[in-house]
Amino acid sequence: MSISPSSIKSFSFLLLMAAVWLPAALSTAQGHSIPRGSEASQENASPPETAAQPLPEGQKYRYPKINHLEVAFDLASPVMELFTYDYGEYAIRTTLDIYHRFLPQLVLGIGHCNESSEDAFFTYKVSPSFFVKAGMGYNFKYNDIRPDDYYWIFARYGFSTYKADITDITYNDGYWEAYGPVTLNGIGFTCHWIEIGAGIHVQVWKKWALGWEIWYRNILAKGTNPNGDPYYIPGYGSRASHIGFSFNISYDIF
Amino acid sequence: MTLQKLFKFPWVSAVCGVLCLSSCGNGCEETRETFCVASLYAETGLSISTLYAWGIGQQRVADTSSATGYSDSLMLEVSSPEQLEFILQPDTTVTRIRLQMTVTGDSTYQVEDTLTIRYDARPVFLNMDCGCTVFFTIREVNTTGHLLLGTSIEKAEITNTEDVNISLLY
Repeated sequence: MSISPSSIKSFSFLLLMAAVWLPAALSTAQGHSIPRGSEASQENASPPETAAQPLPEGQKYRYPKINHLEVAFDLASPVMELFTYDYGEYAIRTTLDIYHRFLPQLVLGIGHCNESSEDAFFTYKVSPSFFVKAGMGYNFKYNDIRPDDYYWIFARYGFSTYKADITDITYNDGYWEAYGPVTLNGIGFTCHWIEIGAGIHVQVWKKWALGWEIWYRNILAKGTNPNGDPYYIPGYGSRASHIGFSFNISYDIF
Repeated sequence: MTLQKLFKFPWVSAVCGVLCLSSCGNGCEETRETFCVASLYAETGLSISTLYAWGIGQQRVADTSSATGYSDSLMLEVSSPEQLEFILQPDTTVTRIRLQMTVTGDSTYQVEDTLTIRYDARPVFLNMDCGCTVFFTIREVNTTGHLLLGTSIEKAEITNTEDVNISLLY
């Protein structure tokens, strides 16, 4: 039985995830979890300084119109690239917090891919290419007295135009002589897609916060190319999957 | 305590894991082979009982037991054919196929035709599991006309969908 490099990478990634997850899971099991239901009501009720103050009559929002400006960097993609994927994305997301309710955001990033097929011997390569996403988040508990920790939903539109190279293509139909190897250089694609998802944002220290997001994604358009459809799309990831995930570290500029 | 809020919903993580695993590839699920599909139409009252096809110019394998010193590699062997699937040579722009047919009419006899297909070939990426294949665009089809009297291109694009590409009349 042989173990492929991708299996080793996947196993290493699972070990890393377990190492990250276990401490939190264990401490939760020991009774340090966030209180829920009646526990939460009692706990919230006991310290008077954390009790919700009713808003003055006629005031709709607890927080100002321009509440925060935050920048975030996704850590998940670089880690996934290190341990399991042959592609990666490096993205900065800027989010404006309006009334702590509406969260318009802009994501700028660079994605690349260099993946070799395990049994077909070709390599699919996308040189570092830009992508952009724009969208709107929404925080349901916008008047919550603890504004730094919240759960939110979002919808984003993504766009990327880039070129892919496929090298060492061979084809054997079993009758004629084997075809190749040939190289396809500069296969151009222009892709548009949407993402709909939800996330958690938690302040960890002063202006620094951590958060994760998960989203469903779907390609709206990918153009047509006589040499085939794209495999990897910068900003979208592998076309084979409709699920995206990020783990962000963010900083409040103001 | 603050960090634990990030993991407040373990079931969400479980769902994420399941979704990620379910989105993993299950191997190649697409047809990689590309065939030029031809439909046969009888207009003369004759019928073809058997048909053999060989690619002309195919690299032949040395075989000392054969009278020619080579073994011909058969592309097709079909009884009472209505539809044929030819394999085109991917690294050139023309494929010649020798067809040997046993014809039944008033009597039974053998006849040969050569089918010539001219085309453009292009490599096509399918996906990471299936790899690449070669698709073709037919430019011209003709025959030597011994039995096959006419040809027409039904669908010039030859892909892995196995649509009918050409019609052969006899």
